[in-house]
Amino acid sequence: MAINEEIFLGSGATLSFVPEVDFYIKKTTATGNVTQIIFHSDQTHFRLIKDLYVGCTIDRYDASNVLQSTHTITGNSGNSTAAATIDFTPQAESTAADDYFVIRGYAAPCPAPAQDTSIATLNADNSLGLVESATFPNIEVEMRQLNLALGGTRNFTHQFKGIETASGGNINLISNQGHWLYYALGKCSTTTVPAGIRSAATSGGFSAPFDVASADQATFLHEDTAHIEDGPIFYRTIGTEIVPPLMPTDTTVGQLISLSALSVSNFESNFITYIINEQDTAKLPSFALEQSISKLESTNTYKTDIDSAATESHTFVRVARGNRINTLTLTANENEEVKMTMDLNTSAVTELDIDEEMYARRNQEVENFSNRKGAQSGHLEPFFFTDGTITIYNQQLLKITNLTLTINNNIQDKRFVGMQDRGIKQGIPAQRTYELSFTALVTDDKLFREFIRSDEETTYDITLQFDKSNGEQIKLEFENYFTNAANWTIPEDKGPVTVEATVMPRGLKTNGCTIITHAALMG
Amino acid sequence: MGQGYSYTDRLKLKIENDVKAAKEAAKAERAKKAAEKKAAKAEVKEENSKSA
Repeated sequence: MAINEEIFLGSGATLSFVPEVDFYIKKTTATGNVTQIIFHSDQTHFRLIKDLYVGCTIDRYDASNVLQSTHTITGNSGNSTAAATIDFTPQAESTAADDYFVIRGYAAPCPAPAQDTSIATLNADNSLGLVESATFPNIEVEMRQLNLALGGTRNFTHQFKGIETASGGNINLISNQGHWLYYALGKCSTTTVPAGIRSAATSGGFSAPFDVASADQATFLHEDTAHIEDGPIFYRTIGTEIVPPLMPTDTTVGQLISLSALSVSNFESNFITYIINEQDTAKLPSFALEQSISKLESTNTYKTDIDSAATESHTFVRVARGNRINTLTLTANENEEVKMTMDLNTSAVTELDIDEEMYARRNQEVENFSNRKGAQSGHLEPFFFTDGTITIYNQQLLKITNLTLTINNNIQDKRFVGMQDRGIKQGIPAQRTYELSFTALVTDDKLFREFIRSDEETTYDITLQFDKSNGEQIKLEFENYFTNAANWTIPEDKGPVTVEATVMPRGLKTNGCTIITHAALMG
Repeated sequence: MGQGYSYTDRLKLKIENDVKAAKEAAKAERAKKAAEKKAAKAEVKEENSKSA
């Protein structure tokens, strides 16, 4: 039982990662012109959090997988509704019995099968990694105060609240794997899963798109011949239920593989290789952050609305959805671990409705989080500064003391008519820029000569590589670059002369980002 | 090794494959029916020749 006089403490605060990927919906056989769909009984293991998907885009496909229409979600049922409903506008005309719907991933946190059979939850038992600090996006509300040309006092005559803007989301972490580069760059072009950490998905008991055989429960599934480049890439199985449900292109069991548990010995040195490329459309991948502040009561520790009160005094939950990486800074400083800092562009921060029941962080203990359970020591070990190499102008620079790579997506905020909520905006990626700056001790004047050179270096790529002793890797290759700063600093103490250089590559080389890691990328 | 495609491209590929599979199935069905018809005709011919 809650003791409401207890205050919320940081000890109960969690920020967890929720993938945002396309979500398949099998509706009931309703036909005609519809503005609402109801989840088919095959899919009622998913309960939704009320109105969490407002503003998201939903597509309707016919049984032959041809896109029929696109809509904006105006509301969705909450936890108390067993067969979830989704309302949208404009109406879907002449809907056929076997049409299906897909909620597009942007700003749509992936739900997970209900806990205790009927309590909504998100696919939120995922750790962000080795976080040093993280800021949950804040909501700023525009205050509008007007005099309405009505005098009488010197006070304002009227005030109201204008648009809400979620901003300021930031994650600062030590890098033990490189998946964040996928979110900054945009698409996963190739995956390679070695034989030692995979097996064919079991066909007996497999029932697309919702269920797997018990042999494949609590793991990850992957379409190993062709996958969707911006997710879902790896599907989770929670119990025997697939999360999110398999997309219609990924339902052939013979092409699905099941990933071994992180704890198996083969995972000590066998890893998944991802080739990441630049996404040049507006479909930059996004993710959600679930912030929960629990009073850590001994029972129902992460559950909301235990007492059906109008205020939440047990577990306060907010979900920041539609987080796209605006800038990613990868830093490798002398004597430090490799760090990544990400500034986020957030679509909206959504709070729970009054009396909305849900389990935060899928009601899991930290050690059971999907990317920590069974993880071996090497998996969670960071990349170190000393594990890196940088090659530029066909030379491997050996005496770099620090380097910083910045990827900037210059995301622009846009709000549209019909978004249904003044707190929702969309982040549209625009001009992408890269900047690599480093400080080095040098033995020749090469960097200065490159600085005064007026043509672009197009022959030799920049290679930036970090390796862990177990074989995990982050590798980036850039092409077409200039050196646009090379400051030679003579120290007062007669110590080594340092060069502070800045290099501006125009682009990532094709297939120029390789991530070798233990982690399954959900997308 | 898995190759990544945009969902639109994956769907196009699936639709093409589905159409191809449906065409092949229809072709196989037609061939089967034609064979059955031919067999039935041959049977009738044989019976006619017997009765003659």
